[in-house]
Amino acid sequence: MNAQEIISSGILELYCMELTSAAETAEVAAWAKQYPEVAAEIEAIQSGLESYAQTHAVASDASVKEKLFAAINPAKTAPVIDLKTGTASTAKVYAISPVWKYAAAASIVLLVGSLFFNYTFYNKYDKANNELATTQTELQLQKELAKNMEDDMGVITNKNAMPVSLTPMADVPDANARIYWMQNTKEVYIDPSNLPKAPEGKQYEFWAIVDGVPVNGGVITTEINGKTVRVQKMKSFGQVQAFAVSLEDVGPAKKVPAKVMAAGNI
Amino acid sequence: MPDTLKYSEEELVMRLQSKDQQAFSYLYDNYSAALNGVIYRMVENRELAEDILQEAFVKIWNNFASYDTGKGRLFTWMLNITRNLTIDTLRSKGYKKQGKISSDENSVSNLTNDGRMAERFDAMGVRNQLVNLKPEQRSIIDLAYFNGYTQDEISKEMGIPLGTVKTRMRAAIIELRKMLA
Repeated sequence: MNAQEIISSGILELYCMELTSAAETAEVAAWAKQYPEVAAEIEAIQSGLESYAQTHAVASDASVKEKLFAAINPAKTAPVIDLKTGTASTAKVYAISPVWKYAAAASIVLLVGSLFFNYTFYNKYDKANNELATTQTELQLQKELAKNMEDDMGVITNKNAMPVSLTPMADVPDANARIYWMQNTKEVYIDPSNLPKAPEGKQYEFWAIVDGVPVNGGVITTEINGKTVRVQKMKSFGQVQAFAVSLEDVGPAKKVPAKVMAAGNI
Repeated sequence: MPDTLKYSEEELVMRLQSKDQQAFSYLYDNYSAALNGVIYRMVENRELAEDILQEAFVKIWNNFASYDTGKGRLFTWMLNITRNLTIDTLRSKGYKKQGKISSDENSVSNLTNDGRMAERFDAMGVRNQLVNLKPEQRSIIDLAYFNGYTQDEISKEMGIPLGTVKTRMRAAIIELRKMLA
């Protein structure tokens, strides 16, 4: 069939009325593609029918359009259930501009990011702080050590200091100790670092021989917290003939020495 | 109706495909009355017609992506949706008794006399001064276009052979186009 035959057959009118079978509909659609005149005729028939429908128009109530737009925007209301009565009503839900949605999303991202950095930086800060404290403690310790050393050196190098080497007794040949006796002030210092480590439950005590009688000069500290103590000040005496170190049971200073380890005259 | 905006059909379709509610408002303003007229003729109840109209436009909005410009005019597509929805509504339980379903035997007698039908529409206040078709021409168009009758149903309804429906329809539409030209 040529285009004119198709047009005059009446099939296009049936097609526009949706009265054609599926096969006929497909056939007409193919013709419409093939022949521009057929497509134009279909358009003209539909347009005519459309005008005809417009002449039968019946205006609807304005509320229909309102209801329609409410229906295609269903998020505008949400059910509200009364807790006392259990009855449901509806409440307006105000649409939020998408800009605010993005802004809210962005602020949450920023908040999470901020929390992460806060956490990270606080941890770093905490760690640095702890390291600083450790370093300061260490420094303090080193300063103390240095000061002790300086004090020791001060005693040893004092021009008034008279060093007295104590001689070990025959049965304890390695019990060496050195005394520094200040000739001007009569102060007495001892360096016990060469004494053997005192056995468990024992301690060293210091003695001065005054007028032929031993007088206790105090317990000798050999170590504090595992650190060896070197030069330390002992009790002062007036006229001293000799000094001695004894090994005693742990406890307060004794009146009489039990076991003299080393002794030396001034 | 006062239109501050004027879209070409092509532009309107494009906007509706991108879910433009302003374009949809325009579509409603321009076509709802024509579609409502069709529904009204089928259901003869103003409230029911408006309910169906609303539902039809919701369908049009939701299914707009399925509209293919290559298959005909926008109004034709909308009318098909509307007409099918109206027929479905009439076939549903609540409206069976009214006997206006095209396939229902009883419905035939309701619409046999075109004079009666025209009378009924005049009573509903529908004025159609532009188109003054012969009653049988008007009937064949209305039965198919407004009521969604099949060829077979039209043949029975009008008491004409099935083979004649095609030629009668063409003659009626040619007459219609002349009057509306």
